[in-house]
Amino acid sequence: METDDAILMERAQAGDADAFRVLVERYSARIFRLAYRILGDEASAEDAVQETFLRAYRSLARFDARSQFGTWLHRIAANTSVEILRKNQRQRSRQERSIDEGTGEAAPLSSRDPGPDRRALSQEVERAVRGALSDLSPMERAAFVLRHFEGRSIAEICGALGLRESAGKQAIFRAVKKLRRVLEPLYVPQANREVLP
Amino acid sequence: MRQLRDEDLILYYYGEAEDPEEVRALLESSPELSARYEALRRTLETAGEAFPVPERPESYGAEVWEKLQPALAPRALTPAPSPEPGEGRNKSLRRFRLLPFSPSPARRERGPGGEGRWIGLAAAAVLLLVVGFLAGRLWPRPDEARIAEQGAFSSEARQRILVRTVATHLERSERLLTELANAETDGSFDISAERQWAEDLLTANRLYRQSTQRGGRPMLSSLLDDLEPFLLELAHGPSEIAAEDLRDLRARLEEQALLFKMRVVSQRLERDQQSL
Repeated sequence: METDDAILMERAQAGDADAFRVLVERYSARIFRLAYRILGDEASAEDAVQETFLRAYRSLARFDARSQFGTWLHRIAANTSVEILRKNQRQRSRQERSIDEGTGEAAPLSSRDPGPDRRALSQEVERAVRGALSDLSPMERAAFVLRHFEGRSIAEICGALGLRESAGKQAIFRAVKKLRRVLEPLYVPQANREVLP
Repeated sequence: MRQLRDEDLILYYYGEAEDPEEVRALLESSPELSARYEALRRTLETAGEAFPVPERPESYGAEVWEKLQPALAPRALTPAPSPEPGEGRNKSLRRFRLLPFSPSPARRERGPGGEGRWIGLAAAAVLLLVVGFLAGRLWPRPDEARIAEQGAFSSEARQRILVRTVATHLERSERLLTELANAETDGSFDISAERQWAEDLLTANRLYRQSTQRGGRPMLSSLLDDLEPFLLELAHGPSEIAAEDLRDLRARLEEQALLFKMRVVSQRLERDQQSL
């Protein structure tokens, strides 16, 4: 039987590295999924996983035993991912400026747009979803991922990301609006068939 | 009857409507509203299905732990140096003073006091700025290693480019870590410049690690693997590092003899460059 998170955390707080190892092993894949959805690429998500556990380890003393370890860790992971996403966006924007100035190498257009005829619908949908998500601010993206993929309540999300409730809701509304804008046109014929008998 | 906005439907979909019964009744009574909700539901479900996450192997947790462990070494392995009399008001100056690298904090030499500290501060600040600037501008970019891998060059030329770029990368990384290992502080230390520097090095390190793995240089790849957690920690850490964390970093560097290994490998790469 698995040892309870709370017991492991208590041991980890007392300096038991093995207890912390069990928690790392138990939660790594879950944290990777969250980070990947916020960040959108594997390497950055791997970084976020490492960084999340580092921060958790450094904050062991501040963990409130009444809290759920998983919730606490997801909170650290979401904030870490938001920070990494901001850095990535800054870096990308610097690179794009550099390309505009003619001092760098332009990204190959073919990889971004291989031509609609060769794409399966599912690939197009995935691309559209990724495109819509990448248009969101890091905070909007994190809020949407936590609500839509992780099933966290808006109140929990606002607590985790330090947002007011109205701002948390607006972040999710904007994300959904962007997704609808890109996805609904792909489903028009099907929608019509279903809605109009 | 209340008109429902898209926002109300979104909240209903997520089970967060203020009055879900009211929304349900409105949906049942209005085909137009029901169609709007259907479209929304389909979009959100499609979005959920259309964003697959790459699978991690079962051993993933153990792999994360293996990489993480070196960075979790017990903290405060070495005691903080006790402040000298009258040093309190010079705290902000001492934190910028850089000393020659030594293997153990206990054997560290103390720098001169008084005006010497001002000089140390100025020199350190200038040095960090200059090195940070040069690091980003003058040294080869990671693209070179990637280009070297892409087959546009002969095998010998590829090896030469790889060796040269990795040697430069190690040299830059060693400088960064040495700067931090030698920085003395009893307060907090502003490392925003080093953090930016580590961020650039981290991206390059990942690429070089893969290149050296593919290029049949496992020892080099293993060294870059050891280096990565330190760069990761600096790149994603706070812009100020506390004295305790700095001592901890130094202790871990010493424990793994990372700087020593980097120097040895750099010398070997230098020889390789001459022979290639």
